[in-house]
Amino acid sequence: MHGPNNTMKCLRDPTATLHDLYNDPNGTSHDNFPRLVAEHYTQIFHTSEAFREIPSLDIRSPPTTFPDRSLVRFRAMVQDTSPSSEMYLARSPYGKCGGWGIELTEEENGEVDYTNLRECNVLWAVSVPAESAWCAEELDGSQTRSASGSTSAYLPQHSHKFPHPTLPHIGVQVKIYDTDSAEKLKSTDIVTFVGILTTESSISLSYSPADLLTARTSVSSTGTGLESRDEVPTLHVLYIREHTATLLSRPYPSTATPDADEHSAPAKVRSELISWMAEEALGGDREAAEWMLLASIARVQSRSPPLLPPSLNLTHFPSPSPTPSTTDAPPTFLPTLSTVLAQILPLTHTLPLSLDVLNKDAFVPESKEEDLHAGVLQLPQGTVLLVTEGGVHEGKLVEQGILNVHALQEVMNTQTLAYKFPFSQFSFPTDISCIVVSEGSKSALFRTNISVPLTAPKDPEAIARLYKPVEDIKLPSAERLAAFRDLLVGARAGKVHVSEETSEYIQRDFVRQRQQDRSVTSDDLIRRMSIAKLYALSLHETELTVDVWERAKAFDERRRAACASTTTSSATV
Amino acid sequence: MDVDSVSSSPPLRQSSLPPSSAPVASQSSNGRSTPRRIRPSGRGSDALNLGDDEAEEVPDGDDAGARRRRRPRGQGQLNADVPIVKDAVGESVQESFETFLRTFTEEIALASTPASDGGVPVAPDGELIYIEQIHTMREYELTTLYVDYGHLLQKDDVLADAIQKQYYRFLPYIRRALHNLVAQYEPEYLKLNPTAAATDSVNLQSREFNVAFYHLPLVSGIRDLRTDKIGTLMSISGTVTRTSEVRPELLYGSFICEVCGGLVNEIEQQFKYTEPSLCPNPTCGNRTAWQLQIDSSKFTDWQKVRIQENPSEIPTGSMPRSLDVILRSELVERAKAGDKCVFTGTFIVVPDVSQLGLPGGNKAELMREAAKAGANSAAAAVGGAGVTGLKSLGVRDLQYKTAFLACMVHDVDGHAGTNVRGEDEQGEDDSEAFARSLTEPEFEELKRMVNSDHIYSRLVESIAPTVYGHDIVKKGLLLQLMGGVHKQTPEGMHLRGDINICIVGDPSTSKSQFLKYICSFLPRAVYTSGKASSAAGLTAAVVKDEETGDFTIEAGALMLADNGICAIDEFDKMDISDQVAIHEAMEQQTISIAKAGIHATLNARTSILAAANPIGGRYDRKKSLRANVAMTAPIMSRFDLFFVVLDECNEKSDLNIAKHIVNVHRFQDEAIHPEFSTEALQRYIRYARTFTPKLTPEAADVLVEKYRILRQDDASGTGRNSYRITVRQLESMIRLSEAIARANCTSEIKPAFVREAYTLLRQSIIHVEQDDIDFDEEELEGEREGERRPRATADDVEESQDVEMSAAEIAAMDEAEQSYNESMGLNGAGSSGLNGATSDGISRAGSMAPNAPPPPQPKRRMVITHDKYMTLQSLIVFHLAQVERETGKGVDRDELIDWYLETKEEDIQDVEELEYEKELITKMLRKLVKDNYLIEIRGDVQDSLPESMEESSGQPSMDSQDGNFRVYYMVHPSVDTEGSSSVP
Repeated sequence: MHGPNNTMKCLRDPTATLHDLYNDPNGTSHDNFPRLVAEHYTQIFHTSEAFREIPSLDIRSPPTTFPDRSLVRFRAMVQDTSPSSEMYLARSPYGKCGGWGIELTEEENGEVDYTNLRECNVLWAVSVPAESAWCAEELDGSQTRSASGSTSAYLPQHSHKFPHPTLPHIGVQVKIYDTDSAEKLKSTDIVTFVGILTTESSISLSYSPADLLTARTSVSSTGTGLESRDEVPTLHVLYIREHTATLLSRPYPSTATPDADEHSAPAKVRSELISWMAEEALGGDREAAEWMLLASIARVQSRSPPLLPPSLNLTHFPSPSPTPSTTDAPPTFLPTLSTVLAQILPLTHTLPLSLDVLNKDAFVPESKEEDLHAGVLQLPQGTVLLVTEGGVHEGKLVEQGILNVHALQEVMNTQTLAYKFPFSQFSFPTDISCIVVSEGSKSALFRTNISVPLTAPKDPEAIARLYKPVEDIKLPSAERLAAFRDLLVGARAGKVHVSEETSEYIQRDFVRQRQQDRSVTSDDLIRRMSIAKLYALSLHETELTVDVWERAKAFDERRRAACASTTTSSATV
Repeated sequence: MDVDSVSSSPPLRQSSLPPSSAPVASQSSNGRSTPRRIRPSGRGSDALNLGDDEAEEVPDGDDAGARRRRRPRGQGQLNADVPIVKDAVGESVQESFETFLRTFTEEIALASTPASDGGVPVAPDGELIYIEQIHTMREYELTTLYVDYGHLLQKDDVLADAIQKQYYRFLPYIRRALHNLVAQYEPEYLKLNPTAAATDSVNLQSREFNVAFYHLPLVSGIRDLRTDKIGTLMSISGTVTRTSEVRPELLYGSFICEVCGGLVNEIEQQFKYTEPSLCPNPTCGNRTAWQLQIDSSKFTDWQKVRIQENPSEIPTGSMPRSLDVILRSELVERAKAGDKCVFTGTFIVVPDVSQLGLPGGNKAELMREAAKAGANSAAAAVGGAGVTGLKSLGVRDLQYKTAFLACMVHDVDGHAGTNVRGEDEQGEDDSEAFARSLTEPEFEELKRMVNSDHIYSRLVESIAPTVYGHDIVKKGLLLQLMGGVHKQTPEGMHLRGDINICIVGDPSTSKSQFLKYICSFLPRAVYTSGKASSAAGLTAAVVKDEETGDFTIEAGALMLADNGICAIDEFDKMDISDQVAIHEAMEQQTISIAKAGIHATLNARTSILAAANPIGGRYDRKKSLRANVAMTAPIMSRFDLFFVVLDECNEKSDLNIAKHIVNVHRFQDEAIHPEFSTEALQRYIRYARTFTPKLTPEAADVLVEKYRILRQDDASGTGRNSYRITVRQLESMIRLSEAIARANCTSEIKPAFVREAYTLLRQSIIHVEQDDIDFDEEELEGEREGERRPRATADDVEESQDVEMSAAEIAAMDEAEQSYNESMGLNGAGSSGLNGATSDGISRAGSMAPNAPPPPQPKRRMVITHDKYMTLQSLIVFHLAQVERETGKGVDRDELIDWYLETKEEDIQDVEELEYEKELITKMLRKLVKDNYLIEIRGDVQDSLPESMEESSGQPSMDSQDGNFRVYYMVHPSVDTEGSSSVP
């Protein structure tokens, strides 16, 4: 039944297959037809080959490049689930299938049986923010159709609904007929929608009878109840394909056995990765690179009890030396670190802070006029966020700026982001590992769990190397790069077990330390515990051994010593 | 059709009816009405689930038309002679409802006298409240009758059920019933303009009346609205996010045919602009060219408000849902943006006509275009206007929107009805309502919890499971979640039931974790940091809207946490002036704003959970609580409970903490096994909060007694209190007792609960200030009697008591003068009576025994906990009192020490411990003397007096006198053995 022919037909004319399915004599009940549809299509495109056949909607092939009612897949982040659901006629008077934007001909449109009305959920989805190019490539597969010429011209609609409006992206209105699966979707979830692409008027505000009536009786009806409603791309979802938490999947622990191939052992790869990061982006500071590695594999392990990714502050990171040519407008140079992270992490975003950005940009999503505007921090779960403070100069932080700083601090502390709604705000869970790069001995704006001083040469030439352009980065061989990625992505998904023996050891260790030094608190233990686990993850160990614990502890102690020596006064931790 | 004739009058200017529910259709008016008829469709079930079996076909039935008309597109334009369904059930609903209004009195028992059967309004003794209301309506020119649904349920539950289930269907009949009653009792009021009526019958205007139901037993959330709720009467609650301006809505339109000039009246509007589909003039045939006659059309006030789900009803991680509510007639402008309101009415589906509106276009024009397009298609003639031909407008498939048609709106009063915390004055009723909202397994679990033993202590164990230890703080948090009962005095003064808690402690103890736990636990909890928030951020700020220039009030954290808990971290870092600003919120539960011409008092009924760091980073046990916290006394007194969490350096607790942390990392959630899940706990607390516990007489006695003791402690100066014990603490104790009763799910406050509340209060406000009794520290403050015994010094605690005076001792002399003066004053007041020792100590003997064995001190520092101090104190006082009663004499010191050591015999294992205990009792006695619990008699009574006089000067020589005196102790006359020995 589900042969290649069927697949082809689905691809060619999804609407017709929908009708076929509806009229299928075997399908006796239409009680939960949307569910049936979802199951049917999941079945058809079960194999990854078949799935890849579906053309992908992305920046390279924006909605305008598809004919009306094409079958597309759209890997997207759910941005706004607040629009009210819509009602649609699930069955036309003549027994035809309704929904999915299927037009009812005029004959059928005459009368409505209200019992055939069904609910469909409407939401807004955008292309995945913070997604690295290599990750997109891997998920989309080698795109055969590439209308690269016209893509730059694509102007996305409702770009206020994308966290970083200036970057190229796509925003699509999504209608989901299988309401059960729609209920599960939350803001910042990443899923792939497979459905029929049409163009429709945007999320409608509401019904307003008097607007029409008063159009006759009063002249001034402009802008009162009816919003301007432009046509937006709309995806009528057939089924939803979910992704793993890391978006990509890599084995953990790495499949390579240490003795079989010395070259691909995690420890070796890890060491090479650290060297590469240190060399390319951190002025050769391996210690800082190692911390960077740990921070970028951290994630929320549990919310209750809270085991959150530690936030990292890379201090003493020099600001870019001003280049003589552009003096009037302070340029915001991104450290090379940003590019390096993008090369190895599937989801990473760099947020170059400046007073302007802080005071003007919205970090927090806010619902205005029933429309949820995205905020810079509305990022998918599992994003590594690099915050640079190099662009912050003297000036005034206005209210918006304070709120923004507060929001980012809240993300670091509790991994929640409070979206603003009229008269209230609601916290949504986030999973964003934050790395703050600051020039001073500690971050000017944020309190982080861990701070690491960068010990790199500070001569102008060395500083310039920290900000060297993309072209100058020496990429490792494709094979090594893949190994780096495997290590990181695998570690992000990994799990470390703490044995009875190790925990006994750690406990005794703590009690002994407390007795020696009263300033050691339980917070120290909590921090060390999470560092040790990250350390084990970075080695692709499945178990936290005493050896790793001691190494991690020493590692942490080195950092504290470095902090203490670089700052006379207040080291954060 | 005599009923119909009442309102089937010529076109009216004003109408308050929703068009779709007008009881009477237009077509009886002088034969000129449009040939508009509802198609008597064979489909038995529409959205209202009407069955054909309960309807009979009659040649003419406007009633049925009225109910069918709610299908916006189902109304066809068919021949007038097609039989129309008459709703017999509707008729009977009308009759019953009329009878109900006619006869209802508050006293239900009297209402069913036989005489009331005949439809004659025989008034029993009670007042006929609805008839009265009809008279009032005339007086105040109102058109809405407000009906308490509770009355309806009480009087006629069949009718109530029918109205609830098929509200939309019966709406016309309900209104007609009201119409009839008005016609009967206030016939004049039916017509808007009775005098004009005689002269100009065309412009005679009749009033339209509405019935508003309120007090429905169940209030749903926006999320609960599903298609199966369409057409039923229900209440929903939500926060109004915006309101439209009030506009006229066309109910019935009059049109002039632009072709033949004929007038068509009473075209009912169906949530969209509807023109006559065909000119009634047989020769005309015009379908499209119409001119609306504004002066003869009927309008009503119309307002649309947008409401958003209440925060408490939103599942975690979901965004709030919104819904449009349509308000008409007298209901407009009742709801303001920001209000939390309950709307009663019905959930409806309407075609999404707004889709037709395209930017910049003339909507009405487009509508007409659409109608034209439709008219051109023969098959589409049924559709009326605006549906067919949409395609030409670029609309693919017509969508439908849901909305809520409200017949009643009222503000949610904070502590009644749909309170997020399930608070309700109605007690039991509401707990049933809550129980109903649970699923079967949830209910079973709740039942098991309620019926199980020791639920209170088990609940405490499940609070903040991630935090190790600190059971007493957890107790406090549980009680804060439970809350006391909000009360209102007859004068209308509100007494808060919320319990405010402050946690003071060393850094990196678990203070913030407690706060965060509460915030994750309670939906309506706001976490804020004192450092980051100013008073305006906490309370409310007046903000100028940049676009409109209007001043609006922006809610601060306290307001956001209304009916919840506001957790303020780093409370001490807040400016003192800001702390003062929240005084009002803490006690009066309101926030007043006077700024930019706005004077407002806003509700902030929130409990405050504050965390504060001690001054100087670490809690100094040597100082009082007050000296440790940067808080003003008035603020401090507004906290019901203070908890001090200290970072104790103790191998055992360190190990436990380490184990706890490691386990969390090892097993994550499995590491923590609270007996009850968060959800179960939440349900239990919501259920428990439905109770309004009252004091039993015995408990009231205990309460009085405990309060007296607190006051006395305060007055006698034994506790270095940060603030005086006042009525505030009495109120605290009542609140705590209420909360404990709630935790036990009972509406009776038993004496045991009061005792527990007293213990908590002591342990927090008093205990904390006195903190551990550090004898070494005590000694630095000098002694009253100047009695000198060999003893350990502050510097040399490990040594035995046979140590001579040290330098530290001498240093203490400086302080002696001062304390001497103090104690003399107290002594004078205290020694006036001699009756203290006689009260019954025997009954309390049992209660003291279990407390006796003190835990061994980790180090032999001369410090005992306050608890232990109190235990020892009562032990000694009781013993002395007993001996005194028997012998009339005091007890020799050595005898007393021996007696004490005997009682401790089992616990003492080695000599070292013996020495320790000996020293302890010695110091204990000294302190008791100093604190006026005991009096010391040397040799005989006379000797003791001069000694006290020479204290300040004669210190160094005291030791030498030691051997010469036998020292006796007696209970100080001012001590009431009842009071001091009842310490748990």
